[in-house]
Amino acid sequence: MSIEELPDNLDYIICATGYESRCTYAFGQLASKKQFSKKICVGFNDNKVLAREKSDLYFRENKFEEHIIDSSSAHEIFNLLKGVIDISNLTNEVNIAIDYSSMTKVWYAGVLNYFKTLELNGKVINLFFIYSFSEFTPPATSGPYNAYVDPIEGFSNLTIPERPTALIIGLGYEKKRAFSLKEYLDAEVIYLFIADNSFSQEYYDAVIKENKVLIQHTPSENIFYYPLNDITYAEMILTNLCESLLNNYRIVLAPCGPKPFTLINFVVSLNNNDIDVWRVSAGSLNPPVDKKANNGILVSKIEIINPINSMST
Amino acid sequence: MNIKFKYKYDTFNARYLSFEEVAKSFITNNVFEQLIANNNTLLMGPRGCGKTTLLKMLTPKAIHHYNERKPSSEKIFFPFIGIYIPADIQWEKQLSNFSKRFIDTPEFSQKISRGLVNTHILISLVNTFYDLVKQNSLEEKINLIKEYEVCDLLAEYLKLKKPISLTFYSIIIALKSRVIEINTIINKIDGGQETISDLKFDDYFFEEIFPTVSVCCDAFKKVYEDDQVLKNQPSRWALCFDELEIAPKWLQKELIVYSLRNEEQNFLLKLTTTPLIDSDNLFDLHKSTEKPSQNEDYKVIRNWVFNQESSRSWEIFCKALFVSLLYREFNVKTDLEKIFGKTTSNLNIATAPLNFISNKNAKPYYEGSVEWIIFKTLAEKDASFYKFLDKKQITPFNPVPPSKDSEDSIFRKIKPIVYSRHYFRRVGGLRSRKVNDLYSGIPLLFEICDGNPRTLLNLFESILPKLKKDQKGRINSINLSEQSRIIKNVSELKLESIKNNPSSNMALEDGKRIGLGEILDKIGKFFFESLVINEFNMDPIGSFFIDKNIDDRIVGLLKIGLNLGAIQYINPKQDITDEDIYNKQYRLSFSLYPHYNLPIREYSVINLSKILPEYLKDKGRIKNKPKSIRPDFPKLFDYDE
Repeated sequence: MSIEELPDNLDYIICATGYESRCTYAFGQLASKKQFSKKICVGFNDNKVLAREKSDLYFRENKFEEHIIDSSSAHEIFNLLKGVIDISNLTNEVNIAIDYSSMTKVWYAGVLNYFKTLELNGKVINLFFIYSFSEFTPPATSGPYNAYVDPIEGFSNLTIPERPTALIIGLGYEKKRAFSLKEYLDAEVIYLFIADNSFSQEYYDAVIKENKVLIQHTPSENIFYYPLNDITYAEMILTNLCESLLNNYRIVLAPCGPKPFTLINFVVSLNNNDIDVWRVSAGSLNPPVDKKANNGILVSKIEIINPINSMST
Repeated sequence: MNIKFKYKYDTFNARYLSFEEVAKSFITNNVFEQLIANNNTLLMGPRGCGKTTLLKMLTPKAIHHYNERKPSSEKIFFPFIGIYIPADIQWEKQLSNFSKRFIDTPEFSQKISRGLVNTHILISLVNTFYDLVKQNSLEEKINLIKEYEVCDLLAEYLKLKKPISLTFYSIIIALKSRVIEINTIINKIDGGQETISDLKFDDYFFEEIFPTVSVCCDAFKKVYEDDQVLKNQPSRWALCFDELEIAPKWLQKELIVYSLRNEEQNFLLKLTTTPLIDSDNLFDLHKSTEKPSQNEDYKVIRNWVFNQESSRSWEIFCKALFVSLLYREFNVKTDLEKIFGKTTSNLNIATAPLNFISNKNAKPYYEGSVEWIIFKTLAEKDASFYKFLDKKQITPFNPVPPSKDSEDSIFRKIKPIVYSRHYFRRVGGLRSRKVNDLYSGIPLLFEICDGNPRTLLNLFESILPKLKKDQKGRINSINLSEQSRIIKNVSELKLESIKNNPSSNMALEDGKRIGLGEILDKIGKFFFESLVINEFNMDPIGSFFIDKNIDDRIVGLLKIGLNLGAIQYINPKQDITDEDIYNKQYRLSFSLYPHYNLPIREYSVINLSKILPEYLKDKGRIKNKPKSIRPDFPKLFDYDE
């Protein structure tokens, strides 16, 4: 959906302020068109470089309530939302916009997890996840090795190892991120999801180049290509794949690529407790890069109606 | 060992295979013969060394499939029924992340962990019962009655919620539903619908598992002992825990410290673990009585190459496996040396131009032979080798053995060093060698894999596309350069995989990170310097002791390296010791030697603090690089640029 299709009055908007210039873009597009009852801005407690100062100032001028938290802490984002979100006095349909363009995986996972566990008392929560695409920046020539390969809190249940692991990786263009994950997890099968070239040829070429060895060693029938601007298609393939694997495997989703694909990983996991989503990252060792918005925006609507969640774009 | 070409570049993990598949391609070896003895056993080895395969073979289902295909003389029997209890990284990470989340309520965390682990063990147990019954065809009516009878007892002993259908399948489903119960408890706490203090836990969250397993085994025996199901089966049971090192710490401690000493058990323990047990975490060092003792309480089996005998066994195993795999692929019996050549001949590659001027009839090391030419050539370009020969009273311009004894004691011994120096050195510097042609042939192909069947199978899969059958039905040979290229590639991939393992990277106080890869690179380069760049030495450095001067964080990384098979513990004498990883001898895994351009040999030992002076305890990281040992080679490591 487009930003024009968002409700005119939104109860909350949650943005992140960081070193990427694009973190202010989505609100800039919405500010004159929509009304917000409460505006919340979450800032990183580290990497206060590049566009950060300018972004902080922008959100301050636009009367956002500011909060600084740890970029890797699921607890902190959960507790923050617990303190600032109150749906008890709102109508039966609560509308919340979240610009996750510059958020860490742990943060937007925390946002979803918070609403997943919230007592709804018959209310419906519409979460509008907004993503600003960025101009293409080439991948770093030598990135750091993985420092975190862990289940993300709220998206991993306890299991017993009676079935093998199936690993589903959403490929990105960071060097070394997805390499050897299969060996590390002792996964029996591996599937790859790759954003096709319909959105950006440069990005697609970079993904293929940086993951050449992994792609070469994965059977072609285990590789799925999806259009980045039609994320419901990817959700459908991912859901079908997971359903076909669940009887024989414990599933680990390891999104290393574009955030809209990571978001659908969380949605698929929300609807099935036996599917884990894992964080694969170099953590704070990743060098900061100022990603600038390229004017493209993707809005994904997630309806939280316990116990069933649905998604549309 | 087993192979399953299910996917391109599979990692060949026995965990993926069914018991039937494991049995189908299993090749017995002396490690397995030790493992089936009637005692508690610790099977130690790095990842990929074949521990899971061996453990799976202890189950009645696997051994039944194995024996079914073998003549009487080759059937295997052992004095226990194995219950295989798997573990994996996904499970370990889920449990450790859960424990971190509830770090402030350790009692709750421990209860959940115990409940889950107990459930897992019981499911494995009931599955084994089920397999035993399935593989012996009882008359249907008797079968149903017996199953009903035993499941009635199991439901009672396991305190399963009633009503329950009294079949093995239902018992397993009821046990599995406990996992759902456990997650429901956690979700309710997460959502604030319950508080930890208000929770009521069923007995299985508290129970010690061994008495429960014991009564269940007794119940099974009671019902089936007169039947075919147990008629030819041994009376003891063995709990076979795979990958003990990734099981929760409380379970590791209970298994090792308490259970190994309990002679009253009617079951044995067969445990697989890494090459060293993390004694600091497992034992209260002040209570030495808590430690089980080797040989008395348990036997240790080392499943890696650590001495000449294990090296010989490994070579025999590899040959049998390669011949069997090639037969499966091409349906012909093969002579491996015809396909891959002998390792000794690969050295000629380094000297190919010299072969033309050598005298083929000359006796090795004597005038005119390839060896003689290389020794002489090196003496001309390497002043330290010249001096070495001179000191040994060997004429550098005519380096022939002065006596018969010196052929072995000097010439044969220094030959790999001389060849490496000749290959990498030129007058006044180093040669750029992007691909090192020195790795090929039998037995080097096997030595490179260093006792690790997973590496061996990866290597085999890389070689396979190069093999074709000719018109006479013979498999073509692979040229030595091609073998070297494949081996180098396998070595690079293994190193990248080790470097990218998240446990191989450690945070430092200053926000930077240090990785195992960085440590391995420094060690590899040090060995190369010692062998090729420094003054010529008959005994260059090629192994190290981990001494107590080394920073604890680096020691932590080396332990991970040991588990991942990046470094090998050689000449092992102790397993569980206060000294832990310290003061034992290690080398890099041979599988990494091609990356570091090292010959496959074990050389002298040095304290690691001499190799890593910038990582000494309490000194932090030294910013300046250690000084070059040889000033006549200003650019030490430009050979690979």
